Amino acid sequence: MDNLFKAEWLKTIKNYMFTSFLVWIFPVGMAGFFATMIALALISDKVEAGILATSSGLWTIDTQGVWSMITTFPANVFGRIPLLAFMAASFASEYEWRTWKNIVPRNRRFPLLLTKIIVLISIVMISLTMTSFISGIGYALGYKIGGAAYGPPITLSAILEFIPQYAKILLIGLISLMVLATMAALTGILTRSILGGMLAAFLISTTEPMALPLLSFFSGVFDRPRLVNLYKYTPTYNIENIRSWFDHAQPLEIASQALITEPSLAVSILICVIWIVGFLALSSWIFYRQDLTE
Amino acid sequence: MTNLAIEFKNLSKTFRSGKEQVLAVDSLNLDIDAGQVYGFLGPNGAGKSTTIRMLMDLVRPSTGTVRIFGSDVHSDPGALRKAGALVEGASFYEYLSGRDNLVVLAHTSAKYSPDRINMLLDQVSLSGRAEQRVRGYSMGMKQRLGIAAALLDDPELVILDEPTNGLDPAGIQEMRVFIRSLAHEHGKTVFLSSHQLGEVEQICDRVAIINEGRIIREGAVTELLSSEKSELHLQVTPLNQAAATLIPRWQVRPEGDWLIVSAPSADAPEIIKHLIYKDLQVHQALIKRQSLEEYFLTATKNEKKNG
Repeated sequence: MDNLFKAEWLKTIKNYMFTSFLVWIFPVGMAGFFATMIALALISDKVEAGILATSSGLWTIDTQGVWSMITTFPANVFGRIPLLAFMAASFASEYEWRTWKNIVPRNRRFPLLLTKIIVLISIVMISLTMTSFISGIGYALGYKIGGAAYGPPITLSAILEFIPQYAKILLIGLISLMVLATMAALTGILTRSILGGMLAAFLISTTEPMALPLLSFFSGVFDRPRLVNLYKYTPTYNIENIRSWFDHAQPLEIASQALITEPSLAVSILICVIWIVGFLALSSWIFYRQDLTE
Repeated sequence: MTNLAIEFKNLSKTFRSGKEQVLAVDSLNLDIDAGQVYGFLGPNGAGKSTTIRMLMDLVRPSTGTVRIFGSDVHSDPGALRKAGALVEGASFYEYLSGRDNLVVLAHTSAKYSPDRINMLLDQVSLSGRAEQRVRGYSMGMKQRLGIAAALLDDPELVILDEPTNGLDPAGIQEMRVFIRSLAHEHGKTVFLSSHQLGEVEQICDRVAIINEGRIIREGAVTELLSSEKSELHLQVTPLNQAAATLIPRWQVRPEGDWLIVSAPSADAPEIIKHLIYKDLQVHQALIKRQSLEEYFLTATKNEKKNG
């Protein structure tokens, strides 16, 4: 497994086209954004005020903001597209470049699939962690230019308090990415095309979080009010619910949908695990039975 | 321990394309002994690549089994560790260098050795271009990298699908020597498919001809060729008298100054003795053996007629 990881890491990380535009774009974009904002803040008080207005004033909170793009609705509608596209393309490219035929005889299919998922998740986790810390540093510089205090002071106790908070957001991010990666595996294996995988990623990223309005619409059309309750089984809802439990020690409330009874933290985690295992099992089964004719 | 490198038992593959079913390989039975260079011939669409893909567990057989050195390739994870393959043209990660591609493949099979990679790059004459991205490689270079990839794990069985595709004449010559040395110096079994029949004739010890998914001929190259009629080209005078004396027993036809006699090559001494006995002047006699290419074309044509 260690060797498989090295192989998968090397070929994924050196695919600069995919990683630059779909993964490293986040830390690089964040650094570029703050560099531009800080440069403008030096000459404009309005920009300086704008930076301060978007910040909580605490690096312990600001560094967690980036993870919203994969953990909360509606940020995740578009935040997940490049990541899901990256992952789906990584699977589909093995078909399109006809490289499975070199790899598959060298190892069993399930370890190959699993390793790819682990590597993809690792790379995205690194990218988003970098992005989150770059945003913290960016805000800190913005506050410094504005002459305002940005806290809390970096002390051992502040760091020890921050680590479990950040670990929780990493865990939610990890669950979200595991759902994405297994979903991507399935789309890549089914479409066998980079473009097809990316389009499927786009469709899933946009429609799955929109399940609530869609279910509301259909429950009205078919006069089945309980149809809305299906929303509580979607990954989007449960990932948000887990975040709500972690952040506020209470379930996510959806005021406009009184029919939904909010699941507990354990149930939401279980539902996410079922999605992950389900996607993984289905991908593995299809991949196992698939004829690699390319 | 079996001495069979490959066993195909009742192997069939049907592909479904919409409502249609295409029988690509039909009840193929073939045993291939270890330590030889075995040729697998057939026209396009005959089922060669599908067979090779089933051999490498890339395609699931509809019926039958494939064994490598006695182990089933589908159920025994160890079976394919004894085989290395270049399947249907070399395909690589084009954004990686030649060396990195080999590193990725070596790690995938958990047999990473920088020394072996260097040695193989040297063997396929790619050492000087190893750090260049594969995107910039010619087809011949990719093919040579494919051979290196097939040999990466030092397999006992080497499977090469059209190994000389894209190589220049010097490269083809080098490849022939290299492939023969794999079997005769390194004790490996080589299973190769090729469209270049002359090449198979020069490289292979045995050959199977596949057409429309079925094996139509199998045997040692020399046996197959000697079993078919060869042509004896005779420069003999007087030509008409010579023809008249041979016609009762052999098929003859005049071509310019030459008399062409269709007969097994073993009959040549008797034909010449017969002409001399009849007091005819034999100036030159040439045995033109059927090439594998001619044999292959005849075999596939006969099969079509019979089918």
